Amino acid sequence: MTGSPHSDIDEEWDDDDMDEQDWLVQRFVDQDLSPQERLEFLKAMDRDPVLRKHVLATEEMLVRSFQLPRIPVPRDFKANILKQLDPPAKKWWQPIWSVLFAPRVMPWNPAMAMLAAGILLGIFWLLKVPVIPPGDERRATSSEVKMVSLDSAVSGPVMVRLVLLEPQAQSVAVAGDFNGWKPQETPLHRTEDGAWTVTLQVKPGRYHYMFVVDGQEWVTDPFAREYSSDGFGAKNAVLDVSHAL
Amino acid sequence: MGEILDGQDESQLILQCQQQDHEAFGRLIDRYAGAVLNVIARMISNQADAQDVAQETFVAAYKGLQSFRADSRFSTWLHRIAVNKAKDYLRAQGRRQEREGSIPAGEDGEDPILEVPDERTPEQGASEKQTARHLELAIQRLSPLYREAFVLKHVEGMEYEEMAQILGVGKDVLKMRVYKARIKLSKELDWLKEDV
Repeated sequence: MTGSPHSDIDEEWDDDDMDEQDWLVQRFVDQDLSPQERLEFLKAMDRDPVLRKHVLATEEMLVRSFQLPRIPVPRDFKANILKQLDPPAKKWWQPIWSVLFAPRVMPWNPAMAMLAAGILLGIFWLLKVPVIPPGDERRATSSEVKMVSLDSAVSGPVMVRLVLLEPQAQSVAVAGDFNGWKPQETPLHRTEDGAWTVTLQVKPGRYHYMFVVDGQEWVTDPFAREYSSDGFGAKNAVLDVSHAL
Repeated sequence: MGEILDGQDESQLILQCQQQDHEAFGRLIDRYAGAVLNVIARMISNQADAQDVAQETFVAAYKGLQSFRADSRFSTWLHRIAVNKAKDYLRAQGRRQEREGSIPAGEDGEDPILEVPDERTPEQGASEKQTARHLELAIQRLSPLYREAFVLKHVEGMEYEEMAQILGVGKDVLKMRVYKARIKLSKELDWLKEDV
């Protein structure tokens, strides 16, 4: 049988700790014995009840070791680790994004508010945005038509929103080339602030139109970009969606 | 906890972790928390501190993942960190206790060890639970080098090959340590049986 090589392998080995029989038992348990060694060992075990007991005690101890209860992982284990990690690297655009969109509290006072209002008015003036002063007469001042194209490419149908501010009106409709000048086909809907609005889907092209207030009063869009004579001394608004608005 | 990952999934997760993906690292923690915590707890014999050491292990692993190469399995690499963390803890514990003059140096000239009291009494020994408890205490009384070898081999069920990679010690040396640990432990349990 192979002798114990432990003295030149393990620097901590104490030869008193393990005799030849211990050595054989351990190699038997690890299935390290050659077939001949194994046969001789089994015969020895059959003859020697002490050796048999020794082997059984070792095997039982190993089974019990493998069955020792496992320590459960605490619920906050992972969270505690993740808290200690460095924050993930930011993408290049994230600092810019956070500067632009981080909510801020700005101190203000009346002087600053007036200054801000002045700047806004200046911007409106530069952009030639019509500003309607409050309290003016209903149609000339409070009516406003907006034409909004949601699609700058004009190869397909275009969505156009018409808006007329007519707080006193009971009904508002629009008549034009797009609906055969039949006002009853295209009513506008009133909003809470007295605006009347409708969204039309039209094909690219030029359309003449007018608003019809309370079923009888034909009103020209005061802020249309283009007008044309109706041949009766009044003028129609022109909606041109033949190119991008 | 302990979700099943195949090798490809794990490689993908490791790549994501190397790009500082915390969610991916969370999945690795789920997979290995139990194994790491149990190895450390058996080595240092203190469950509360074992949790801290296990957490330190994962934090160190996350920081070290940038240098992780697939020349060893991730579990082997992680266990190596865990074992080293546990040894650091034991050394620090030993130094502290030496300063306080309470614990002598460990047997066989090794690092000082944490002494575990022998709680055996004649009344104990009959039940499975008590036997398991005695076995746990007996494992804790092993010197650290034998304890770590025995725990990896017979509590965690590892092969000598993987143990050698984790502990950085040759297979033959590890076998000797396991043999010696087994002899001591089987004698302890034998004593128990005779006592019943």
